[in-house]
Amino acid sequence: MEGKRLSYGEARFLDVIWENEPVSSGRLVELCRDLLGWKKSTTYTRLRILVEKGYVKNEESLVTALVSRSEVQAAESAYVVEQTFSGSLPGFLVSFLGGKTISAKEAEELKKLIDEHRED
Amino acid sequence: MERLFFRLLNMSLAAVAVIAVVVLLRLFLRYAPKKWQYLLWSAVGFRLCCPVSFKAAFSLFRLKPTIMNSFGGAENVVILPQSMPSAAQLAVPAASAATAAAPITPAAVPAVIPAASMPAAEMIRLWPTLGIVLWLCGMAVMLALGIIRYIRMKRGLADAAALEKSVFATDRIRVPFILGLLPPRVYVPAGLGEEERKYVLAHERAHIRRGDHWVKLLAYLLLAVHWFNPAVWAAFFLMSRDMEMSCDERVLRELGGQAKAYSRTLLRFAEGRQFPAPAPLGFGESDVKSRIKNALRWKKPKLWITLAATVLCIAAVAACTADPKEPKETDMPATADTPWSWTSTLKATDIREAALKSGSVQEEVLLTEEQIGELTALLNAVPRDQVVGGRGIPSDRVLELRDTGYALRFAGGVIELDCEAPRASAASGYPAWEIRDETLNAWLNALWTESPFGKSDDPLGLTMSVKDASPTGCTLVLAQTGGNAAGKLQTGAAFFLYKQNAHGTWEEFEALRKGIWYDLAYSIPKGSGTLLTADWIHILGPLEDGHYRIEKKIMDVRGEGDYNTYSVFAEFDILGDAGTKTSGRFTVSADKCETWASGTIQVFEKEQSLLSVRILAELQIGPKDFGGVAFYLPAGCVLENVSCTYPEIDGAAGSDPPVNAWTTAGENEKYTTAIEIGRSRDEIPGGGGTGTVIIEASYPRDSGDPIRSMAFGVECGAEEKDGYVIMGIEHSEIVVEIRSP
Repeated sequence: MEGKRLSYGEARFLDVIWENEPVSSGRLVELCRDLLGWKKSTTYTRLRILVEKGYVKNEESLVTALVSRSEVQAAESAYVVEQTFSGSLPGFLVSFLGGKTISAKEAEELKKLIDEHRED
Repeated sequence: MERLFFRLLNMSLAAVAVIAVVVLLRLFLRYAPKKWQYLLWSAVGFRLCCPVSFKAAFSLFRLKPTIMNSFGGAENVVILPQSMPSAAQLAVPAASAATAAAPITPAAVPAVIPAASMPAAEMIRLWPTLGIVLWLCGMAVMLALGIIRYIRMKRGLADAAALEKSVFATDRIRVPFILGLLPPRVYVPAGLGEEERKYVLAHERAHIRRGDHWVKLLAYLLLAVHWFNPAVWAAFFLMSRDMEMSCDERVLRELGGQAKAYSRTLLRFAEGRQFPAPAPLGFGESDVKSRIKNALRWKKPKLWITLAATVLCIAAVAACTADPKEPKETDMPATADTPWSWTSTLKATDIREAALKSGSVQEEVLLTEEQIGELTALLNAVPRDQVVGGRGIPSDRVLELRDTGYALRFAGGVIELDCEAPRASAASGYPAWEIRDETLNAWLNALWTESPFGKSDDPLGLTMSVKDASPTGCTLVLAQTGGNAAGKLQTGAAFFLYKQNAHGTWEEFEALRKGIWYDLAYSIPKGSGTLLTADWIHILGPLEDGHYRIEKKIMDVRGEGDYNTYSVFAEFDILGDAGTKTSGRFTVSADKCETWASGTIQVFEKEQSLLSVRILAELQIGPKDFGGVAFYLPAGCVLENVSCTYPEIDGAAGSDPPVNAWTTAGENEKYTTAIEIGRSRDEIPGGGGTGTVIIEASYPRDSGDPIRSMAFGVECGAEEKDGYVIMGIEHSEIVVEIRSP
């Protein structure tokens, strides 16, 4: 899932697309100008790059995302766990929690998650 | 271009002084808010880009006024020969010593001078050009680097996304900075924490509000121009530091403390020292350690410190920025002092010595104390508004005013006051003043004309030299080139002669002065050489060996009756001919006929196998005489030339002298060549008169022919007796011994 990592700019761009898809390229340019401060040429260039990378598709000037938010988040997280915690998930969690306590609801969610992913 | 470059060097040097002072003052201001230190750099910036600044009665530069002048004269390390017309003439050593007629006393100026020093002159001139090229390269490199860096940054930040207006985030940078001018944009790394972001933005915004992005750009440009000056580099770095620290202080004041948190943020972004850049104002730039220390130490400054610092700062900036005030300066260029103020009186002791020079010729003429006094008075009398900025005139007439460090240069009615040593060319362009005063001009030109320089040539651009000087006369070469002649140049037949006696003074031959000359006018065309003859044999007789000087009067004719007269001089020697020489004097006269001839016969060895014969004689032929004077040459002589002035009318040569010359082919004849003057076979008297004659002949001889003597004949008069006509009733044979070589 490493391939789905994005640069900061790309991430912000995809954010705009996720929020507004399907969006016409013209409208997308306007949105990028207002939200990101990008020129028209910048927007079109970045759009082209993302299309090439396969994250986005542009059909008849209509832009939709090909990856989902969760996919991207997963890729980023995996990267962090791998790089910073040498692949140790518990390590990551310990760090993430950082001495904080979790509510009962959150604990329940976690337990359910762990069970679903348990190797047998 | 050179002018600009030297101005620049001047400015750079001046800036070094200011930088030194600012660095010193920074030490005093250490404990005061950093903004004062930052402010001080404005004086440096000013000095680096403005050649002229405002005036103040007190200025740092009063201490060392000579920095500018002496530096500005870097080109002038050597006094270069401006033009070498006289030297060029010297460069042609004449075969006969008579041509050693350099107008200025022929001191031991070797003929090699023009060739040798010209390359040196070219070399010295090379340095400024080389320097300029080098400087331009350096500047080009600096500018190129700046531009390239800017472009690369801009490219790399293409996908930075805006967080707020003019604030962009990107994950391609690690340190926040400002890029761009209109409008300036703040770029921060993605993923900044809230606190960090707060501080970073406050800092960068403070920069923008103060206009630091412009300051940085200007500073970089000045650095590019003055790249060769290490003091300027130091100033750039120190200024950047002061800029950052003063900005930190501003932020801390706004936030009201929080120094510790701020320092943490600083630390996070500490980067290594970067090569100075024109645009980005890096958050982590400039010695983070000191900034942290400073931030932690920061407290709201006490009032008295602020006040003291303000005063000190303003005074320092003013002192460094200002140029020393000139007493009255409208027309005077602001960057150098004049030796004296035109409102005060120049004292006679200000000019210790005054020397008149011609270009770079070694000789100089010192003015007498009286003359210096006159000059001082004249300079004092020049009205203030008659002194304007000069452009430099190419002239070799120089009056050095020692030890004021100034010189007067004058030509064609223009007078300039130049500083330092006389320039080689007008193009170097450092301060000179033009003095417009007719009285002074007249005085200077009179001084020049009376000097040895003036007496020989100029203003007509005329040089006279003597060629082929002999005891009877000489040929004059008048070379005309350039000069300021107003009209056409002419001269007459008249000339005057002086001989140098044993004491070295010149004695004139009065006879020529009193003589009546034929009213002829020879024109002297410009830009060429004119040949004239001057023969004195008929007035003075043959002259002895010695050192002589000849004077010709030249008229510069503008119109009918409108002309100026100048004298030109040339010195020459009359030397006896080399080689074995013998001579014989003679006088032959026929009193009855009132005819006589008197002169010398010279025989000398021109070459190994060639003898030269010259007969010089004065003669008179009676009005009723038809025999005249006749000269006879021995067999073997070849007649070369006869010149005769008989009969002279009013002291001038007759136009058609009655001269007959013939040669017989007879063998065993004593004389084979005859030259007859005023002789008429028809027995018709010519009317008589006086004159001089010069007969030149050559006698080729075999090497094996050791002739011992030559016999010549001279006879005068004629008479009729008993129906017979006898020519040459008085006859004389002159035997000339030939000394064997």
